[in-house]
Amino acid sequence: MQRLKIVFSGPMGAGKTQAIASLSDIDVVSTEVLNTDLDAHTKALTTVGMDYGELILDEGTSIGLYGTPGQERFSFIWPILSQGALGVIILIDHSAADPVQDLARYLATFDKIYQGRIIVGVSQVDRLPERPFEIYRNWLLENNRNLPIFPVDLRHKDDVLLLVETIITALEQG
Amino acid sequence: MNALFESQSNRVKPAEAYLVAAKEVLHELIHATSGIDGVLLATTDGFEVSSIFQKDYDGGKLSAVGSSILALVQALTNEAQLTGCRSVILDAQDGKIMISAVPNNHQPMIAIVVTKQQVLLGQIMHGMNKAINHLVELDQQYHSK
Repeated sequence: MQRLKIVFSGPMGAGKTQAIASLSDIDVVSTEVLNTDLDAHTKALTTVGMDYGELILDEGTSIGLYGTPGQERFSFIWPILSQGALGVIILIDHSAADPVQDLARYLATFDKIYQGRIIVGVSQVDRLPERPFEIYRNWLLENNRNLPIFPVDLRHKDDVLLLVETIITALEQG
Repeated sequence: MNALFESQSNRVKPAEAYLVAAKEVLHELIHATSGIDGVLLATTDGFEVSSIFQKDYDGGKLSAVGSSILALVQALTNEAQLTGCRSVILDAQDGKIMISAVPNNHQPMIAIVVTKQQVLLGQIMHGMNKAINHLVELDQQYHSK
């Protein structure tokens, strides 16, 4: 069976674990533990190793879905997980304190460790609708980055599938 | 000024009394067991709680990487349909590392010991188990609401 690989990264609370759970055709392998860093995010659990799920395309092909931990102190694992990936999906939480800064930081880090395709999914847009989506497009334009970027609801499989399909399409276009 | 920032933090941290008592447990472990170059106590999400190092280790990094490794190994044992992964032993050319779960009821932690290459593993494991039992009791004593 041909095994392909896509990585989900991004800051804590952006929804990486949830995205993989929504998309995976198998029970997701997860490494969630009690979150003590309530200043960073109030959620109960946090990923400290990786998430692993699979999207089965057809009999011969499946895509491994790898989720990274979001917190900076686990950044040692990002290059390990990204190795050989078809693409990296950076998920950003629209309702975070400074999501544009989050995007800038993650792109800067992944530029150093990964040379393949990167696309961006922005989650939780409905939690702060007064903040315009243009902030991301403006930043990408100012910084000469031509990356696909979409608002997504990570609870919906089709939204997450769109991100994966975008990577595959970008690859097919060379 | 520092006190002001500390009181505004929502981080879940061990009680001061727990830290003092836990340090004693780590001291006991080092003195009762030969060959240990360092012992570290960390939260399961990778924050250093307490440590005693005979060498220059980066406690923050050891805590993060160690917690990641133990969580990954626990995921592996689940996939292998085994239960209760309690510890993992890493064998390097010039030393060993043991990472163990400290199954506190309130603030779960991990313990890491770094040892010389020539150690009696059974002795290390015995010392670790004793320390872990003690730490679990301390968590019950100082972190119950």
